[in-house]
Amino acid sequence: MNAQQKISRGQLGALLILSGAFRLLAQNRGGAPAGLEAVFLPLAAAGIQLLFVTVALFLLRSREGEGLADRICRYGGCLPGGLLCWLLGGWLLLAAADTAAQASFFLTSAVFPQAPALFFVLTMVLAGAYALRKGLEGLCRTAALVGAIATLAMGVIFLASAEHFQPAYLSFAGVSAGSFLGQAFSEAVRSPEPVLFLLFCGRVKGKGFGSAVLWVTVSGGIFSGAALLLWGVLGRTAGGQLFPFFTLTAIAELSVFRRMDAIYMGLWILIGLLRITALMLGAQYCIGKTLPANRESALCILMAGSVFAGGALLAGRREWLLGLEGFFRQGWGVVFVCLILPVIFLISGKRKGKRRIADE
Amino acid sequence: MFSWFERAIFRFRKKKYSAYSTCEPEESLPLTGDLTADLVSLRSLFSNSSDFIVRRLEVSGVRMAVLMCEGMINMEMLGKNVIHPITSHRLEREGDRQALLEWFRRGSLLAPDQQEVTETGDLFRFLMSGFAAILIEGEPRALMLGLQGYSFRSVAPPESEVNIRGAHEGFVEPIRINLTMIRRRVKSPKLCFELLSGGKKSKTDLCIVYMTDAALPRLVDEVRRRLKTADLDIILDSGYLTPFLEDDSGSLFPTVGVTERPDTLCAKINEGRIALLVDGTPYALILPWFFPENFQSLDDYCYRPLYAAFIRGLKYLSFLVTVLLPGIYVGAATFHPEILPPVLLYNIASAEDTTPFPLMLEAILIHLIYEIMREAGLRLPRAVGHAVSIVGALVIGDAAVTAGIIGSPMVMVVALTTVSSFVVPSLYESVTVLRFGFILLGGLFGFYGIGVGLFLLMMNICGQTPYGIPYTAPLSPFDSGEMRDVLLRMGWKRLGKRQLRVQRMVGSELMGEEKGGRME
Repeated sequence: MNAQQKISRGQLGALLILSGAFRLLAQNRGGAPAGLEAVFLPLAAAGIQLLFVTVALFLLRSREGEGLADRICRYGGCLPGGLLCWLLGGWLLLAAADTAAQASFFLTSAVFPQAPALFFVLTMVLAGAYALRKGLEGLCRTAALVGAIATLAMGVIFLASAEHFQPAYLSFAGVSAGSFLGQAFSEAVRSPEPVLFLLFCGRVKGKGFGSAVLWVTVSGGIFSGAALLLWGVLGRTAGGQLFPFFTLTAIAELSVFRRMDAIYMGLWILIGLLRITALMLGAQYCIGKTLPANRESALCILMAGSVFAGGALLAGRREWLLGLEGFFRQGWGVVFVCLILPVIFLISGKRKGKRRIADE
Repeated sequence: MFSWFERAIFRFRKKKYSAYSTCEPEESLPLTGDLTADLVSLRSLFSNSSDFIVRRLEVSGVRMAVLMCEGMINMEMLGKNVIHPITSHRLEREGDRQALLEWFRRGSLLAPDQQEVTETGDLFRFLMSGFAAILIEGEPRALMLGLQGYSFRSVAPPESEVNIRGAHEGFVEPIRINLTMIRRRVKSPKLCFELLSGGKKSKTDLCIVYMTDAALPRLVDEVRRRLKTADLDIILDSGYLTPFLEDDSGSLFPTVGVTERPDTLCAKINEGRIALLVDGTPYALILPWFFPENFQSLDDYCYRPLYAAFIRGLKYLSFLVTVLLPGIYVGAATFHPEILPPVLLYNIASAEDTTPFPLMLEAILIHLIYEIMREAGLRLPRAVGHAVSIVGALVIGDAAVTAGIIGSPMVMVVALTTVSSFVVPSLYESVTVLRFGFILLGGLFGFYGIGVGLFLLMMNICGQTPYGIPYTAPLSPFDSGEMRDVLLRMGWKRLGKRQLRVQRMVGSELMGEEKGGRME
């Protein structure tokens, strides 16, 4: 009874949406558009992400049951493929360390000012390592449950903050189309979810395009709705807040419950842990391809150790975090995986094909 | 020198084992037909045990012996149906043992179950199951007569799965009676009982129960395979086998179900599950078992759907309350008082001002006291148990508050928590341990600790895949079709439309092995 299990589109979608929602809750770095542009930005970013993923799926000519790491090993050969897997794994581990550091930054700056940041990084990485041992199926099932909890929590937050909603706050800030598209591109490529999708889509029944459409559409809608709520309640002040969504929940009140920030924090932790685990799992998929089989425990320790080391370096250093954010905003990882890598494989595949015909 | 010492110990162990092993039916010998020699051999097999009874008889010049195990036989039946006919029978030719054997074989002795054995080991096992044996001089075989008459508890209402409207019959210790209770409820030729034996020394009777038209053969094979791995000397309870049948021993929640009710077992095997009965245990094991099943009870299917759905919701709520409430209370009052309404916050603060302990310690202390009281009340004789309960209620409810050891809001939280824990009795063990864990997390790290604990708990639940089927099915992976009996309980018109099969659940590895299997 150990056949490789399949996960459903909905489960993978829930995992990626929640992983992406971490950005929504994370600190505000400034530079993002204000007003209605902020509401439409997630939709535009979702469109770009869908384009990227579609192109990658088409060019990689995926077989059913094959993920990105399998394809890299199949096309790339032993050494280049292995190197690429390690590179991609390292990039995902860096993203996981960034997530752990961001979470610890939020907790030490907004909730537990006296606590050491390292403690939060350590506990999150340990929890992530435990979840890593349970595998993708367990993670996706948990994501579906957390998704249900998040929907409920968002509904409560929406109800609690509805009385503060001011439609007058929602107006176009007058951002040019070029600038808007540039920001949408930056928004689309800064998150590693498209790469995670390409890594995990092999475990979804079918070739993955339907899953991509589901994930991107729903996440675009949800993030757009959240931005609408945020800008409708906080108005221009949303742009100046370090954690705008936290501020929103702090002012929301529902009946006898005075503040919603505890709900927000619970949600933040669950989403953060899901994201860290998903990124570690993605890295494990990539790096595990280059190592002998039955090395799960060692690999798990390697993943957790790397994320802890990265998170410990980044925790409490806001400049480093902002620098890393700048790196992710450039989107090299996503562009390389979704566009450059498939083109390279396409060309090398055609060359190999021509050589085979010439040999024959 | 040490090697000599090791050899000596090894020799001693070997000797000791061989002394015990004289009782092992593995040392089986063929019956010789020499009555005296066979009886000597059997006495040796029984280690001259005093409950092994031999009664020698002579019928028309044929020497014979009736063997039995004391207390296992109905003596009235033995006297009336066996001894009396034998002693009053006269053969046409004196000493014709073949004629006597034929007379026995024609069914002249009124025993419902008759067998012939030729080995002392088999004879031993039958005697241990309440058979009487007849050995005839010159015949290398023994006639076994099923005259079971050992005393056992009569069928009574199940104590751990009390219900209002359903049947009030629970399993009892003898496996055969349990089998009849199942057979009476499912009069189908597809119902299959597979008798096995487990325990090297105890040779306990085990029975795999399944419906041949519902259970996948692969699932049955897997249960058989896992049972074979149970390398135990003695099996006295179904709990001995549970770890061998579970996938992951690290699971916080049971992945093998337990029921005391024959009707529940019948409903489960009709869904393609396998049940396992163990002789001497009034509980059956059901596998695979999923998390949402802990919230189902037989009464749910007797009530009207609306009320049943309400009860189902209440059970899920009680589970959350019993696991999380003390932790959330401690966490909120210690780290996040801003979320509490001002009046409640004031009450908590004034109550805590009078107590010497921090809130977390108070919660752990009072829960520990409660668990001690509960355990004492459970193990003591019923009359004393009641007294302990009264003392407990007084100590916890009144004296501790009056003495200023604990605050009254904490008493309220503990009372609500403990009452809630009995709403889902099958999860009692798990929630008790988890409750302490969440109190510690809430008291040390506030809502952050509770969030991390909740994530780990969800991963533990969702990461289980007993027998290749997700433990949280059909909640996650979500299956709208099967949700008709999870959070809500639909009416029988909808429930009866399509029979649930475990192998067809979404996310199951077994899906597609059966015709009609579907994939999300």
